[in-house]
Amino acid sequence: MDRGKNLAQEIAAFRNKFNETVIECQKFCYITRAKELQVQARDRLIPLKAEAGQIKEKTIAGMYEDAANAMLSYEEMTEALINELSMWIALKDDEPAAAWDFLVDAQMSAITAMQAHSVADHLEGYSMHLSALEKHMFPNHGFCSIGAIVRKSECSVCGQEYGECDHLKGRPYMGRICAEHVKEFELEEVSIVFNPGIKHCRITSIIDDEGITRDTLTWKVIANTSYPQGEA
Amino acid sequence: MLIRYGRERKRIVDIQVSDYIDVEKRVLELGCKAPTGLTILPRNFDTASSLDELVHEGTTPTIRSLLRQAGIQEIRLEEEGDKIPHAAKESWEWVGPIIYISQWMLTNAALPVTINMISNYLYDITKGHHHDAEVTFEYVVETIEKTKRGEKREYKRITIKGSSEELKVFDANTLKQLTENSEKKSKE
Repeated sequence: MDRGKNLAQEIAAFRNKFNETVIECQKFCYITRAKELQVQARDRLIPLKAEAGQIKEKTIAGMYEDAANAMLSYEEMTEALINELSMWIALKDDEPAAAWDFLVDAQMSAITAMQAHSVADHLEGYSMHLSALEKHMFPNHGFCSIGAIVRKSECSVCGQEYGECDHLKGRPYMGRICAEHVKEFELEEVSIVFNPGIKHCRITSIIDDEGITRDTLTWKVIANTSYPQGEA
Repeated sequence: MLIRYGRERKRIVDIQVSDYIDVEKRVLELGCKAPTGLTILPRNFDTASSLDELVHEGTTPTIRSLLRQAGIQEIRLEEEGDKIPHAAKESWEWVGPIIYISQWMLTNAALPVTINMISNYLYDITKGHHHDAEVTFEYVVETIEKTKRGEKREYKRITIKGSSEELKVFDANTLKQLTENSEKKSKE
């Protein structure tokens, strides 16, 4: 009984600390902010995420499912902000590919936080803010997506055949989001899409009409395979 | 708390009603069990040349779990022990399986429960990308008309596309109305 009470107090104290830290650190999620302050803000959030993870483990050990899911949500909200700050830092370091990956990770963390618990219900607007950053700061490049026929898949929560157990993809169970782990499949197609499931699978370079290979983010020339005039 | 940003723009639900193949005849051709009540049809049920070619939509296992948890009986096309594989596609778009509804099921209390349950699940799992996640699901509804020669069966395919928020307004009554309106049009 005391254990549960102590844990509830620890969660309440964490929640206050989380709110204060997040408000402070979110001030640095703008391109005009000094890079060194953005690095400091990110470094403040890293131990906060670790603390959320530690409390989550305690709630799992005590079998407090709602609290475990709430802690997962706090963990992912912190991760989203760490990734957004990392994106701004990477842009200042002239590393657009890394910045893209951080943005996608921030989006995924915000979604996971919302799926995990209602404590993150207010994040729909934050998620739209990340989508706006994607649209306005990065070019509209294509993505690769695969289609497959699944012969065997397992539930990430219980290991049974997915669909034959009581867990549902995208729902939280004791501090984890259920996923379908594909075990046996046949590849059906690889296609170029503009609304992919995984935005990390992007087209990184293209060859233009003159045979010049360019980076899709920076537009810098990677290789020149064009023929001199008169040849070809 | 993270900053709140503005609300998303509204989109419109796209609903299309079309004629579907004779399900009873197709079941005989493929040699699978006849659907009665509520059945999930494979995505290529109308075009597959044999039973081995059938493939379920990737969301079928999830919908099956949802139905089972709600105590709704699903009649499977495959024999017990047999398995129809399902597709997997990496996309933001959530494409639901084709759900076959027999005529008696159309007025059964389980239908509104099924539709609400799917809507609620979709709303939950698209949290964080309600503004850009598109959801598609399809129903095939059986209609039986009594004629002088006996019974005439027809099948209507109803395709619904929109965001998970907008699809919350789609319910069992809408499905019934769409089926009835389509039947009337066919007779005219």
